[in-house]
Amino acid sequence: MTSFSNNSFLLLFILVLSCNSDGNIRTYKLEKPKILNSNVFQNNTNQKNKQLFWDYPKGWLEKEASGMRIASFQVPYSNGFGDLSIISLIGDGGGLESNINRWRKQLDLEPQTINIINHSLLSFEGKVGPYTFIEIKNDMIDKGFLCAILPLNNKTLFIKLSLTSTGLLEVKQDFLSFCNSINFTTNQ
Amino acid sequence: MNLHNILLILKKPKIFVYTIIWLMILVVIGTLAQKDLGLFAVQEKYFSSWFFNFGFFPLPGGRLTILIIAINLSFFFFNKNLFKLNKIGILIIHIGAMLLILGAALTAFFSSEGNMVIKEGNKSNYVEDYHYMELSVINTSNPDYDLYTIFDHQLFNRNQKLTHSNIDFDITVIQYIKNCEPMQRSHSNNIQYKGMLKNIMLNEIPPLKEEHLNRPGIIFTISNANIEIDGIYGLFLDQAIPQTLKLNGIDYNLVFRKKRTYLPFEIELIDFKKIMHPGTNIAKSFSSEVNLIESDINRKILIKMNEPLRYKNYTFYQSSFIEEESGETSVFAVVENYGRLFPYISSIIMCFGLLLHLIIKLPFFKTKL
Repeated sequence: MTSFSNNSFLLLFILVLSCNSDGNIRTYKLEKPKILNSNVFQNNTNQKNKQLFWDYPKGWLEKEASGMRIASFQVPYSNGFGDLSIISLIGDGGGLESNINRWRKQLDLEPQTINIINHSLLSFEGKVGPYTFIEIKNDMIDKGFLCAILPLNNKTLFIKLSLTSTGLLEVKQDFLSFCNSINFTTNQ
Repeated sequence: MNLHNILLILKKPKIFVYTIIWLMILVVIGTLAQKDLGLFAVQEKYFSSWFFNFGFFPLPGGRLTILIIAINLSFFFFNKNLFKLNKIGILIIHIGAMLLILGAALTAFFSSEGNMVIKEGNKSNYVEDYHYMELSVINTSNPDYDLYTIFDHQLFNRNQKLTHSNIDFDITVIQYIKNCEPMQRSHSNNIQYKGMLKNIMLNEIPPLKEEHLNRPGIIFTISNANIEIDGIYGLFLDQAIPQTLKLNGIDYNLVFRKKRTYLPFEIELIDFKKIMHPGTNIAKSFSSEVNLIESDINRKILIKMNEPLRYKNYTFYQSSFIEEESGETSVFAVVENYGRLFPYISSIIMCFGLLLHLIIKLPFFKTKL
């Protein structure tokens, strides 16, 4: 019986020692994902197969587009990352006033009439045409948005960069350069 | 002291009593520490460890304590006096206890828990672990498939070399960061930094009690590639762009992500439904109608809050949901536990053993009375 006990003990000891780290490395093959990350958005409604593309500053990190977003970026600044989203809506997407007030609501700000909103709007000329820019911030919660509304043929692009209100100034120029760069390309 | 004497000590019932008391103390310590450290950190420190430091003193952790109990109970079976008819009840109780420990070992070493997030109309066949990370090196050169080489979190120790025949370079871990804050690097004089680390630095911040809010990161060197690729790299959880490398005509993506377990079947979310408490935004109940797809055979199943789907050692619980303008997304908590039935079976066996022992001893009690 004692010999049997000794052997069992030794067997247990060997089992414990025989554990190694090979089990922590795994390999497998997977079929390629059907949707790949891309900075090119297919404009399905256009028969000429036009696509949108843009140049983004070095350091911006492109995220996988999800939900309504046709593209997302993490925008680094001194206090972390801002979140940039591009959404495409049919027609005017509900109009300037309702969209800006929707953003104001997200920042816990009271809605404004279009007359007041117009005072805050700036117009810029991008590669694809003119677009509207607005800066909205709420210092009480230290949060702000840089927003651009870019009308295309039959739809509107809404570009929003969300970050702390103190960081808006740091990334404003990069944001405008990004919006300026948005353009169509035509596949042959 | 020879081995025989050691074995005599190992099977002493006193060891069982002391270790059980120690387990109780561990439970009290763990319960109190949970308030400050969080559930998972406490579980790792006190219960899933062999040792833990109490100040400067190393003390036995839950895993070592259970191992001692298991050894002690195992050697109890070598007691000749146990194999008698009047002690069969005790023997059965011991078998039940051993089964319970075996189930605990299976759960400790082979179980996993994570979540599966599926948007309405979409499918998924993998579970993302709640706690553990993995470094994936993906060879994307083949047009038909991607070849994944996965290094698990157990290897994320300082100076640990990560090598595999599938990859033509060596990775050496510099630092695994439990919670980091990626920050813009103002300027970099270190030409060794490559990829994202040229612009971003991973600033270590104290881990949060709510573990899911932490953003883990890893800093590592790549060597034995070429002068352009060799250098220091960094990755963090939910990084949008993977680190890409091209070496010897092969394209590699390096991704740091939650550990993924691929399932031998797929789940498709057909419809997600929720019922709210009247006049509130609080969900009363929610359910997901899913398709379980295996070998191209569909099976329609409804997963409700208290009615999980159990299939092939996996249990899918309706955990939560995400509502977006573009649609609803269902979140399932997925648990894989090979030892799930052991507590039930061992409890029944132990109850049976206790009852049998009571019946056997009943005449003895009667004569005493």
